[in-house]
Amino acid sequence: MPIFDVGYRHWEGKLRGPALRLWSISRNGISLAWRSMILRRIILFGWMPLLYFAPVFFAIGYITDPEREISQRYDSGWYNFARGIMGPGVADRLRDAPESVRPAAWSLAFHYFFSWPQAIFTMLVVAIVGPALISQDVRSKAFLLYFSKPITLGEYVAGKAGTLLFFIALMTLFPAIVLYAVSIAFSPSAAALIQTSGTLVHILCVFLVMAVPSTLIVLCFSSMAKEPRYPQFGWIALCLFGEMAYGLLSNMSGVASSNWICCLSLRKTVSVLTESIFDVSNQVSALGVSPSIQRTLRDLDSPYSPQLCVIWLAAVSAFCLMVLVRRISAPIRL
Amino acid sequence: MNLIETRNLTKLYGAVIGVNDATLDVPKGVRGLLGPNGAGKSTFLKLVTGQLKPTEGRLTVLGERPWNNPELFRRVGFCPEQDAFYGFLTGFEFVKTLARLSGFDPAEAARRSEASLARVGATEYMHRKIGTYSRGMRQRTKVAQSLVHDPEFLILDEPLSGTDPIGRREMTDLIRSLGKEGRSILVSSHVLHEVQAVTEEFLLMYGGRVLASGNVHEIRGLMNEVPHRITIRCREGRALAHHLMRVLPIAGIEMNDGQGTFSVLTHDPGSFYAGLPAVVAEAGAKITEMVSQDDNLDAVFRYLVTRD
Repeated sequence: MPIFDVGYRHWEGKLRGPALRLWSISRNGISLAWRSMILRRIILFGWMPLLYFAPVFFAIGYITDPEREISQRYDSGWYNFARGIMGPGVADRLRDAPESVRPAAWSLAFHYFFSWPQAIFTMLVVAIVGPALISQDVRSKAFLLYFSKPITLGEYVAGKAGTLLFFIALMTLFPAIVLYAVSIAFSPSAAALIQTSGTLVHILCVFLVMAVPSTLIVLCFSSMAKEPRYPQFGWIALCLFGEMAYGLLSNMSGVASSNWICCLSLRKTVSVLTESIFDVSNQVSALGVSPSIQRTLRDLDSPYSPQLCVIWLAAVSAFCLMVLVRRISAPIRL
Repeated sequence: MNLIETRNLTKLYGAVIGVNDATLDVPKGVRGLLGPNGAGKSTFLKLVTGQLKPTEGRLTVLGERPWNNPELFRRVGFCPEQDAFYGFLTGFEFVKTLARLSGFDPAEAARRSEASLARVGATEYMHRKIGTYSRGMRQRTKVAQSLVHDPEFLILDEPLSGTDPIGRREMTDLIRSLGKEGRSILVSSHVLHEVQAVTEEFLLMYGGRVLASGNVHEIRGLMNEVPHRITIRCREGRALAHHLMRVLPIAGIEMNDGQGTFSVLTHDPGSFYAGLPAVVAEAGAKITEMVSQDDNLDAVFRYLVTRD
């Protein structure tokens, strides 16, 4: 009669890589955040700008369609409208080579889309989702369980960041891609696809510029408290007071021309970089738009340097990452 | 290879000592970690589970350093004392999530979660939200998550707290059966009889120091300067006590009540037990109950922490 070994035997099967472990952490955060009715409403409202921007893109596609009859270009009200509002340079381009206006128009529209409605909705979403991500683990001591499993500190941070990146993507990346797809789909000609082929890459870059610093800042705040309301207050204060300080200083003579004041506002810093990524300034200038219209159109009459913004955001992100790692690596486990 | 090895292990929280210069080798098997509140048990467990970095000294668990070594935790399961839960998850989802953190694919994680929850007797309510659980249910769910990746070494921090008497019995049986499977288990508790129900091997901590390590009887045997206390109940208590005093090596006798119950203090329990039947027969007494009061953890603990 054989005697079987019923003792402990270690699992010899194949285990999954860290990516799926990260997703488990992120998914928990997403499930928790999704329970908030306020968050769901904000996300719903966050998609509303598409209702405004989709017709704008359609209109751009229509008036920049080279297949339209030339008589329509002359006769349509668009020509006079463009001449009166945008200046003769733009109007002539719309008449003679309308497709050349399209990239600049799209860049400008996407710049507005990211710099205002989506930036504000993103800040609200971050304020709701981010503060609890680590602070609730500190309060409930859930990190004891996380770190009793074979996950590294980096995987834990990445998993938590994944939750926030998902919601930021829901507010920026996904609607922008939908907007792009809808615009392409409703463009009168296939030329739009060729002319705007780099737009998806630009959208992705803008998403990263918006998401990475925001995520690191709010996770850093979250790691420093047991109650989510404190990091929430910190984040809102940072956004609100930063915007107020920027608004104040940008209207003060003597200081307004300083290229550093945009760094006071996270939204403005991201906006400067968005403008740079979509190359809005150069494209709009190349159309021959009069400077006064440029100022009105682009809100870009500023001396702000994208390089400085990159350095500033990188420095803030690195500092927040350092504090975050420091907080998670030992002190909160006391 | 020992389960845990420490050499001059020290953990300081600023000026406060959590663990003080601990040097010990803990062999594999089921062990109890005992000590009153503030003894340093939690700090010791946090060091063992890699949550804290030793200030000084060396610590290995299953031959590996636990600090910054996530791979070790494929072989170690930890059930914390605190309710570290997300109340919005069901018990099954919670255990499955933690199984996935151990690297199992979703199907395997689900299978293991079900098996693990069944093993701790939580199948009935595993699809309810944890927020609705009683303390005992939570405790079982925590133990289930510590088992889900089939660890070689299981660390249970106060696993019986909050459980009802039946649950306590079931949990004790579970820990025993896990030990019989060949797993090493470290059970932390400040309730002596809880640990004694599971194992007779223990580590005793007090004031950040490891006071003793080993089998309760061995340790008791080393404490020769303190007499063993044996309580005897019989109707002819006074007569039997008189005979015992005369014949056997006894350090003293305390009469406990007028019902014939008395305690014998002796430094040589072996000779006492050997000579007792003859003395009882000579005295014509009939013993109804005899208990060695000192041969339990309570006595060992009392002795060790007050022997200054």
